[in-house]
Amino acid sequence: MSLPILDGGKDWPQVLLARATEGKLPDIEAAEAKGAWEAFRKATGELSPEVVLHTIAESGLRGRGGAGYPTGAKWRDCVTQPDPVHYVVANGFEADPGAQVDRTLMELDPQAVVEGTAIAAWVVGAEQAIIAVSSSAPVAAERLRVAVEEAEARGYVGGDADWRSLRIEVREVTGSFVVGEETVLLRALEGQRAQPDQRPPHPSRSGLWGKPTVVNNVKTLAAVPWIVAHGAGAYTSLGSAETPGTTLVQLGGVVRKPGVVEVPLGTTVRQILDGPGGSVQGSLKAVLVGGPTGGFLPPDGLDTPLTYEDLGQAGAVAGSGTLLALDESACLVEVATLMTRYLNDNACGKTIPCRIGTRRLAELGAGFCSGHVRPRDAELLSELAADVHDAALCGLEKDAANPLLSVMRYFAPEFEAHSVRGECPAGVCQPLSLAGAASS
Amino acid sequence: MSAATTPTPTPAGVSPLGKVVLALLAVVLAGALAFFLLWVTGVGPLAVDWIIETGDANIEILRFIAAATGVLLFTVPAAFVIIYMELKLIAQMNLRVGPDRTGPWGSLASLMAGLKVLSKEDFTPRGVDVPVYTLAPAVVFLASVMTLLVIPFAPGMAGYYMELGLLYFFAASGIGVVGLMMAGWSSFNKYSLLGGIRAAAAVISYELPLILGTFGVVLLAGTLNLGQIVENQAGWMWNWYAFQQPLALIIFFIAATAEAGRTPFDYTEADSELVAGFATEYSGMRFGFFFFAEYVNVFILSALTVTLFLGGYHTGVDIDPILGFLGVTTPVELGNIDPGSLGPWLLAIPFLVPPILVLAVSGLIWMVKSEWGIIKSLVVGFVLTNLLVGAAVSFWAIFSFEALLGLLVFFGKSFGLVALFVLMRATYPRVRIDQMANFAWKWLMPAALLNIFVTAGAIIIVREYFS
Amino acid sequence: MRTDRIPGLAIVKGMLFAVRQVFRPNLTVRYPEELNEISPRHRGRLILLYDEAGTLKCETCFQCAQACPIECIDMGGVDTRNRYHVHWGASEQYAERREESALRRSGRPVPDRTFDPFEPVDLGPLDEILAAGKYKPANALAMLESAQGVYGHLPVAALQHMAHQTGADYAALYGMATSYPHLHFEPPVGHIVRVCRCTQCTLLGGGRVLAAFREHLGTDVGGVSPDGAVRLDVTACGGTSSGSAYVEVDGEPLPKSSPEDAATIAAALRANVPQGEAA
Repeated sequence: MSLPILDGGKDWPQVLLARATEGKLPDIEAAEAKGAWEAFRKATGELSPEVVLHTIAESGLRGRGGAGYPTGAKWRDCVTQPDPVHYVVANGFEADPGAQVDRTLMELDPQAVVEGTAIAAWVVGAEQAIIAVSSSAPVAAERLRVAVEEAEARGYVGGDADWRSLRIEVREVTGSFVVGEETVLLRALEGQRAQPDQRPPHPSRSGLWGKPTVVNNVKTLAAVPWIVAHGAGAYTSLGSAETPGTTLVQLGGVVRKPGVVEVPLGTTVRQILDGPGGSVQGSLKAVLVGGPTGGFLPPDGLDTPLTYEDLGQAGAVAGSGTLLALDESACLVEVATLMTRYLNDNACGKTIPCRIGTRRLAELGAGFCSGHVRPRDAELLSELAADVHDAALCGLEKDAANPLLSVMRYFAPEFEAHSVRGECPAGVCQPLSLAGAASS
Repeated sequence: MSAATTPTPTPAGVSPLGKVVLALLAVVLAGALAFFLLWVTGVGPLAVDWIIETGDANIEILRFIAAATGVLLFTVPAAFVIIYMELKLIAQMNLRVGPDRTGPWGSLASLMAGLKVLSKEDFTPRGVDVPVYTLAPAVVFLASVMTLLVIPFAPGMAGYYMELGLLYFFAASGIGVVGLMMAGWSSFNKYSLLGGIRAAAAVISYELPLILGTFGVVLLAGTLNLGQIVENQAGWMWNWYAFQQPLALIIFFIAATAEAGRTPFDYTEADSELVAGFATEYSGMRFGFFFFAEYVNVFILSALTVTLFLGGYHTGVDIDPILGFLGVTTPVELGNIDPGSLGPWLLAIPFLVPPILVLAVSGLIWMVKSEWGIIKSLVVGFVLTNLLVGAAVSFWAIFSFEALLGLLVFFGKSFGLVALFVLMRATYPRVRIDQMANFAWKWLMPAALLNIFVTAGAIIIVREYFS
Repeated sequence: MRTDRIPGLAIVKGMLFAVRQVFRPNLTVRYPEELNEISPRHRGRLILLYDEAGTLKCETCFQCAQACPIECIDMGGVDTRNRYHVHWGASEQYAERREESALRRSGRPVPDRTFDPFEPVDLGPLDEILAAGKYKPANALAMLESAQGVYGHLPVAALQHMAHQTGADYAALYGMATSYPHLHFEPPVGHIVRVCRCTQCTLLGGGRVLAAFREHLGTDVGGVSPDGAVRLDVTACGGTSSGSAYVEVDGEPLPKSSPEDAATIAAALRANVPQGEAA
């Protein structure tokens, strides 16, 4: 089941989904007619890796996987490593079970992903690249393989490519939520236990098999050919000044038009919901931004621009790029608790604050849901969340407490309704009607 | 695996046994050569004659030297046997096995203990009084050993027959106290000094009851000559002084336990209190000397008890009337065979008789035990023949030579008393030093004095009114 | 007789008692010719421990040998290709103990003396998989996935064999397999219920549906119901669910899911004879 591509309007540029066509996938000639592989030919033919790297850095492209690390800096770090062997890994794993943003991109325009990977490999000097796809997205994997074969036939990539040997492998990876994390993905590709590693050293210094590796989300890599073709200046003119460019967002929940849409960064959440989303059915209670590790925004917080810093300040994350609209029929405490419990079940267990801390957070949330609240539980939740965040080895742990914390921050009355009055405003939970008395 | 299993070649050379045999062979050849040379040149016979002449002239001195050497040589095996017996017997009483691995039934355990002690580093600590430190073990050891000179082991087999044998005995054993104090003082160690003083106090306290206990026997025997005292106990068992002086026996035995430093009076061995007491600073063979001296002391005190109270080397059975009744005379004679008259048959006997005997016995066994093969019967027959012949010879020897029987009886009794010492060690806890001193001065000494008075009174009464 | 009335009687009685002990059989066990009877569960045996999966807990980390003050622990072994010999300890005094962890690397089969906790399986297909993966522990994940494809799950015997052949630790393979939810250690069951836990499905009540399945199937996510009939697992709907949470039963999505239906579905699955039950 795939989601429709929403129309963002003529003000919103199409970078990632420029060539996306639903229905039968065009072959490489058709794609080339629309501009595929033009940037690659330009880069390898006329420019040097250093120039392209400079272009990327100038463009302000940041990682679209959720963390927003400047891509140019990441590539430069990898290039400057003394080890001659480099790798490029395209992270199309998309751990969030409720998101199919990356999958949509890979299904609709695999050539862009492959081209972006090839350019990245050419810039950092890698001879081997892996595009990691979740095994629950077989269509995307198949289309990517076909795209790679076509590119090889063209001589862009492959063992005896025109410019240098580059083998691109499309690898299907099966794993839990945590495999989306870059170091965990590398371990899974190596066939080891799916647990993250301490960073530093970052993968750009020591990644796959210990070699300098560039790990980028497929959305990031799909933007690279456009930047190379149109120049850094063209990219910086898109989006906002601090965070240029566009990203893909998936709308869900009680919006009228769920689907995937390409938005320029800096657009506010309200604009996205009201524009392509067709606004909300019923009365909006909250918007969950970023998936299971994201945060809830209240209706008056919807004017937060979609940038990494603004979302972070609001207590949410860009994450998997999902916006979930919730109406009055959803109990936020219950949803937040279930998210936390989901994260705990998917925790790898390497660090104890995450392994036990997220469990305790989920238990605290469940306590709020059921009304079994002790007087200082809210304070305990904040402290515990801070500890879990500080001890984080990976993004799951760092953002594990976001749902509960954001609910506590913006929707404290809902907590009180559960714990003090024994009511669930949404009518979902059945809390005890004990006025916050300390029960077992 | 890789080439780790190729056999290592045996080193070319002589095995250890071969080396020993070669050395012995060399010695024998050299000796034979020297002997031959001496014989041929005529020096040999002359030297031999001179030796015999001098020997005859000084037979007493020679005899004394031989006795002293024999006594010294005797102590070491005796100590080994006693140590082994103690280990094994106490183990049996503790439901244990004791030494089991070194030698058959652990019999080499004490020998190994001695070798171990010998192999330790022999040092002199700094600050000790070196001559005193070095001499102390020797004094203690010699004090014990010297007393063996006067003990009659068998009829005619005492080291030296002294008229004042008993006095000499106590004088010599008293020197041991000096040795203990020397050891304690010279060790340059407060605790050794304390241990030495304690040991000396214990020994001195019990010397009085020890000596006073023997006065009864001396009064009865009328002499200090140990040989004479034993002779007085010849004949039937009721002649033994044990039955005439029971109190003295008990006093003497208890005092002897303390003299020897045995439990329950073992202050010199009170490890948990003073490490090794006066012997703390000693190691190696010096410590071995103390160790040996203690066991020799045990033996000589038992030997003295046997001599004074338990009939010495007498069996306690007057065998002569019985033998006369049976018609057997001692020494048992093998008829009137003169070996010289046999002529060449003399050679035949050692070469023919043993094989014939072995074959006969083996044949018998082979016929009886049908499932055994010839080789097995031969081997068993050989062993059995040896045992039988040995038994016969021993029987003849015991009844021919009074000394042998006496020796056996004496050793049996002495080691029996040593076993009693060991039994006491296994059974009793250590008494406190003040309890021990109390007991010696307040109980044993008055009892010994009482014994003397009663004995003296009894003698006077008997002499006055019954003879 | 009263020992306190007759002086010296206690002393004599003591000695008689000691003499009597001489004639009692002694209690010494002459090791090593005789051995003490020890029960199989005796906690004092000087053996290496196995865990419930049948693997030796010893990892030849040499810590015990290093720590032993009298250096009586010895370990040794060679790696699978006989390249180097690992050794610690004075083997000439105590017999060298070649424990399984080191032996495993030498490729020699090790008899399991204590117990056999796992059933043997036909290792032929596994050998082919291992050969295809070139016996490299780096390809362990792929080899495990292939093994699960052949056996339906990961039997302990297969993991042991893989550990032996590749030289990787059993614990490493086992641990790595536990971190991937698609690798199972129990034999496959007849039915699988998959519930999506994405934010959209949670919004649509997925949490309650999942709780209902947990309760009626008697297992948590990733586990098998106690009667071994149904496995509860997760799936991903990609945010496309609408109306109710996305639930798949045996690969078929349910048109509508609710906590009330969960009970009936669970009962029906358990009553059903499971098709394609694992060997």
